Amino acid sequence: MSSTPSGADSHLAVPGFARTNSEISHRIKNQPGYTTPVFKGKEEQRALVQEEVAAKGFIPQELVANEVNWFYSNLGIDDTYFQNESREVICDHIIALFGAKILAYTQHDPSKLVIDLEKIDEKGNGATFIHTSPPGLTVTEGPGATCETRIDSLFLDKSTPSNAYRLETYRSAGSISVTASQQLRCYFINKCVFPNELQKDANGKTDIKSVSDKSFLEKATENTLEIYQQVMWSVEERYGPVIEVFEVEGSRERRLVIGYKMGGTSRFFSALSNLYHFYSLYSARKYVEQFSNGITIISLYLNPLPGTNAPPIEHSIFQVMKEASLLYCLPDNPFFLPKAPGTHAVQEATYACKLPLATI
Amino acid sequence: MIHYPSNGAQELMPTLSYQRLQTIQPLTDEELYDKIRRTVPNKHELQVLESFLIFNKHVLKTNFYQPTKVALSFRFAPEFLPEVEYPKKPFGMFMVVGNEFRGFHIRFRDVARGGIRIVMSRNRETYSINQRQLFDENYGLASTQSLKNKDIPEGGAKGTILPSIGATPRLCFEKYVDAMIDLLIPGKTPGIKETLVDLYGQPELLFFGPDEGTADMMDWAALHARARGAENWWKSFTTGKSAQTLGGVPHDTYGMTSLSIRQYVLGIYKQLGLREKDITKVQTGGPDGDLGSNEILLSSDKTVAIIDGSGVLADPAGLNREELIRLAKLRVPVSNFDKSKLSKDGYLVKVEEQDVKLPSGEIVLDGTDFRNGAHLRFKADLFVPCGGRPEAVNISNMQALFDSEGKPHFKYIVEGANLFLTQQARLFLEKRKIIVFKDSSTNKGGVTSSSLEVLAGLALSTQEYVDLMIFKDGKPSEFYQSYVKDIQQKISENAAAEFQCIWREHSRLQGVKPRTTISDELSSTLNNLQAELESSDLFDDLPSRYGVMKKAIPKTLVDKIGLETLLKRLPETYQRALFSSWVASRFIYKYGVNASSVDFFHFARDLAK
Repeated sequence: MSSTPSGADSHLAVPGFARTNSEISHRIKNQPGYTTPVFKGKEEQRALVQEEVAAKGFIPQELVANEVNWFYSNLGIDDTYFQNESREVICDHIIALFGAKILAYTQHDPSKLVIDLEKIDEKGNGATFIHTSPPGLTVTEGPGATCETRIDSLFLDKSTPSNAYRLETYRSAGSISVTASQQLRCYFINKCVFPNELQKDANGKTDIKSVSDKSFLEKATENTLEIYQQVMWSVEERYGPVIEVFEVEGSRERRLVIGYKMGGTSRFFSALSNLYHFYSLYSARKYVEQFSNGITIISLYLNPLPGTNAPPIEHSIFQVMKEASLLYCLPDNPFFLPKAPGTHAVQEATYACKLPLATI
Repeated sequence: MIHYPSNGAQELMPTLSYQRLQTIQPLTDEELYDKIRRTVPNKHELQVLESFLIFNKHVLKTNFYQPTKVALSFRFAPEFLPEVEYPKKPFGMFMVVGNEFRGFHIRFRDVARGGIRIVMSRNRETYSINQRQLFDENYGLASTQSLKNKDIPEGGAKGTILPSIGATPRLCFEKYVDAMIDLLIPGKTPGIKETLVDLYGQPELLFFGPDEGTADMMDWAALHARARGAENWWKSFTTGKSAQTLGGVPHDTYGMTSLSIRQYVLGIYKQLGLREKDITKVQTGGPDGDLGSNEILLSSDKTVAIIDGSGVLADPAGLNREELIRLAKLRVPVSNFDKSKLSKDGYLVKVEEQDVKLPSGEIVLDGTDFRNGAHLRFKADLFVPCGGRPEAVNISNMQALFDSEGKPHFKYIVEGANLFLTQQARLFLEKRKIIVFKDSSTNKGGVTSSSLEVLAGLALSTQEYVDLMIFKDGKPSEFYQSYVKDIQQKISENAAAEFQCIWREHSRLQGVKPRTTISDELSSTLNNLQAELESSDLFDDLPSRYGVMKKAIPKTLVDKIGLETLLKRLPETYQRALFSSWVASRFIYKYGVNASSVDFFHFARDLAK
């Protein structure tokens, strides 16, 4: 990292002179900001699940091993899923997938293979959503259409320091089958477990480790912690949102980190997706982290969608950054919903939204 | 495009939104209007697009392009308001739009103060009604406020916030204030807060006060303004701050509003040669409220009935004063009155009681019903509403204040609570020979106090403010105590002077003009004179200015800081406002509404003394 990600450098800037884009963004190494968890008991679990699926009798015996194997190895589902879910749930999901395949077969169209798995824990411990999703598009029908808005209203908007939910979501690397080029998107929502005591350093600043969720601490790399720490300090100082852009070395990937006070806005996460879709970007990973001192940090890994004539990510990322700040003010804007006729940029939509007020 | 930050020159590439706009040929205003006119399919769309155009043309400042913000705020030039609907042109207009609320702020003078009100909606229906009325309500409240602020430097202002259903009012208020501050402080941190495009071009100061739903948020706003870097004005940004921690002057602790109401009551006694202990009085608003409790503590009359939220307390022989004082000090409602202290004809009916037998043998079926109509039931010399529902006496029930022979229940009414009587009721009662003093005259003690709280904030440096105004070890400083005394004295002076003026004017016209009308005229004459003075060159006459300032600024402050330093610290717009309000009010109170130019010449000649 070549410079600190916080506003520290901006305080040194001469007032009245704007920073150029390259000054605003920070450079980071091309490494994931989270370690990919490895679930050690995966093989063991696979054997047990296979037994269970076979016992249920829905899938022909000779296909069971293949199906389970495909689900475990080829689909690209993160280990987090296997670690968190019970065998029964995994079993149900495998059988549901098999059903979906049969349905697609009877319709003679492999592209109709729609995967839509979800599990919302009744005790409020979290949820899992897995479904097929084309990259860089806002889907208006099918399983993914309402998923993010539901996550917002069920978990993220309601989060408070005493009852917060963190979110991880990935786009799977592989395709779901040989014949269909669809990719999977997985959402994992978990209730946060915070340490008991908030610790401040000598300067009265919060130590991020003392306010972080347990599983976040396990997964986040040192680098990520450092970035989040800086963002957190800026959020504590400021009333508004803190938005930072990071360039990833040797790739066109950009990471957008947004920090704000928990409950400071609502339906923001799903609105952000609409935003970067507008600029033909797709995200490989997204994280929403909650901290027990009432701060939320969202981080989006954004990549340009190949084969579009959209503006290059090097420019559009700054537009996304600017417009994210508008979205923070007015996330549920009727002119920017996917169903709105035509396409509006956020600035245009936000402008339009004040119209009813202007007719005084 | 006007408000777009102009740093494009330093970038190799202009931003994408800029490019998006550049692909289209920009039109001039006329061309744009013509194009709209020609392309719209119907009148409604024309209206909508027209309002966009008007909107754009009247924005003076906005945080729309600010890199980070929590809500959008716009400062408008109010020229576009049609005069038919809004006869008085506001000085400045703000609009704030956030995720869960929308709000306005309107002020009628450059230097203006008024409460920020949170308008809550019970359901979707009331929300949409509120949504439609918000601006008009705000306009109305701000213009009422300017009548009330007639003899203080600040003109009238008001802010309103309408939270969506289910939104947290506190969050809305915080966002409202933060977005507003975006427009008041020039941005100095590029990438976070850029310098805005400012078509107004003058520093702006706003003063917020507590109002419905915001009483406990004033501390936060002041501290937030400080955190945002408003070194010069965070102390004066809000009034009604905590006394202990932020050096505010709480109205109810020092009975500021009651003090001015009191002057009217005392004025009546004095003019008519009455002795307070012979006077019977009915009071609405119990010992639990600000006005009610202070009225009890300040008076020594024979109170025959008190009506409050908890019930009705009455005693024809006069309620036991020690017991009333006990309740007033504890700030508890009349339901806590010790019944053994009542005479044989006295009684207490609580709202939750049913089938109560009064000493007269009458049976009260329902306590709440009884309470709601009780202000029309009792008879006394004096009636002082210190609380109760607005418009409690109106066209439909004002007849009930007279008995079957047409004799009024009360001889004098001093309306302490806001809008207890409707204007119609006031005029009607006065016609039937009741002496009525209306709310905006009687209860202005509160605004005077707030105004002087602002003055302290502007006049003291942060260090002085912390040392002198904020409590040390839970105790106020000597300076603070003496300043509060100055405020109290000023309130009494102003109220007594206005009372005299109304009384004199009324007798001069031999009772033809009701006091209510005189009071209203007084306000508007004062406001007009103030506006004239503010733009006149009288202020530039140094000896007069010094003479006025010495008298207008409380003595405690002048002694401590020195007049020279004070005049250096106070913003010039504020000084002008202070000057003109003092001159206007003193002049009118002394010479009356119909004073001549010669009178003014005499008056102005003596200003420098």
